[in-house]
Amino acid sequence: MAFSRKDVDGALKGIAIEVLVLVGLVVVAVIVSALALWLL
Amino acid sequence: MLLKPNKADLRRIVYALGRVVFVVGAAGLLPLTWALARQEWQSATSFVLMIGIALLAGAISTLIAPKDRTLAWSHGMAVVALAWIVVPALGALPLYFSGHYGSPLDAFFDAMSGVSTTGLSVIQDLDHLSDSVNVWRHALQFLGGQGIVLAALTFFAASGILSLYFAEGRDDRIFPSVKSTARFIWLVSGVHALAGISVYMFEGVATLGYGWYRSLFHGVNIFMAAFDTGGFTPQSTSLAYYHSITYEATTAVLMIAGAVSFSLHYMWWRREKGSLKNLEVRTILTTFVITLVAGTIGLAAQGLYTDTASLTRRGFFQILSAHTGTGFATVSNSDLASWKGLAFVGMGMAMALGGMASSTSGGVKSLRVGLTVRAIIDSVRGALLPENAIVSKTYIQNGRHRLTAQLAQSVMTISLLYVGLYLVGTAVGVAYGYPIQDAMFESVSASAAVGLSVGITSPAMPVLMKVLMIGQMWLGRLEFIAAFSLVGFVASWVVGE
Repeated sequence: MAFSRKDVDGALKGIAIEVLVLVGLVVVAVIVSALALWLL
Repeated sequence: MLLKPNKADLRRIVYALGRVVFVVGAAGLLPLTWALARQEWQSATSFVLMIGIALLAGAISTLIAPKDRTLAWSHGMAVVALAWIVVPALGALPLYFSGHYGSPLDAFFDAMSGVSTTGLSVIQDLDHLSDSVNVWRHALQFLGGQGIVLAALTFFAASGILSLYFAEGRDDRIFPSVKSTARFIWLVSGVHALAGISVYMFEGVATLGYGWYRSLFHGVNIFMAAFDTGGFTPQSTSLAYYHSITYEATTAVLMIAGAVSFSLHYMWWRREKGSLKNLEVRTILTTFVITLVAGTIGLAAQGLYTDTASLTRRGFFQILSAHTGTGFATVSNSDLASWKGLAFVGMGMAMALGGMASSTSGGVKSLRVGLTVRAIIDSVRGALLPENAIVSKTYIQNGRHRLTAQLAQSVMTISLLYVGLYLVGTAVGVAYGYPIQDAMFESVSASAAVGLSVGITSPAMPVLMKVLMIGQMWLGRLEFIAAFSLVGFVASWVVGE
């Protein structure tokens, strides 16, 4: 399996998606935490 | 009537096993090099011993190699189940000779915890362990996460390797050939290693004030434990040691990458659309949010963290670590033991469910959870609709598939076996006098290859519990089938005709 330019682009995109998933989950966590502390 | 295996069957198994041991021995060159570079002569000697035994095993397996090396399904299952006992036994040698373990059983416990990517440890005085042995502990997690036998497959072509691939708990092939799939898995891991270790090194030097060597040492170890959802760290305080939000964020990205199935990595790398439609992706996002909400509300209700920043940071990281099956902690064991009520429920559920199928994490796995829920919904719909109504029983997972009764039964059987394994460990813990909540936490953590602990796992733990947890880690990582097949194989050898 050769490691082409396409692979590099794909790998970068894959890691970018992982970072985006983390950011999305952290946003959810912040909202849930703020609501939980406010309500309880 | 059981058919007794003949000598040719045994020679096939020993040959394949020898190849696997040989590759693991070759992996020992990494810590050996590290030991020589650091002038850790005692550790270097133990690595030479381990590599020597592996070479000997490889040589013997070549000498007795049968002409027909094709592995039937039963051979493959037996090879994998045995490999996951023999490899930790071999890997335990340098651990035991480090002098940081109370007994060979303790060293085997940590080696099994390593290869099964669990992360529980009974080591003594971890903070003074030599660097090279520490690297070996983490390398065991990397090997286990990649799949020990899969690692060997990449280097040795053999007929019948498909059975080995499935026996290690991998459900899908990304490419038509298992070897190409194995190579893609190594490619994904290699790219993440390059990126992850580089970022860790930068953080070590730029934000933590470490020198280059210390940054490299921590970067390599934490990468191997994070991407392969293992959870070992080079120090006893786990990830809390670094007190660094950027280190935690980098680790979180790697934990997510590790819990993602390699087929999803493939979709992302090849820019294929539709990954959000996959049942498994939807399931893991849903269960993560549910466990996060439960855990966060529980922590807020207990009043353990009183501001949004600390509640988010502690709650989110621990839940993510539990759900991905990694086991890193940014709170102490005693703090974790004080998480009661909904916080405990959230953590327990996250650990029990685990990551995606064909990823490096353990637990029931999201695909099984999704299919189980789907089967229940279909059954309820079938019961509510008129008798002649046709209920479409399909699901989307890299294309549309039929949810057959056979598939539903197989999924539920494995899920039930996991629940049974969780309960057996809990019962034994309670029998030894541990509080039921703590016993359940530790049992789920061991069976689902997580590695978080509320303090039960220690060198002083009863021997029977150590043996039981070794069994839980082995069974949980192999997802039962290969282990049961080995039992069947041995039974047919003893009582077969």
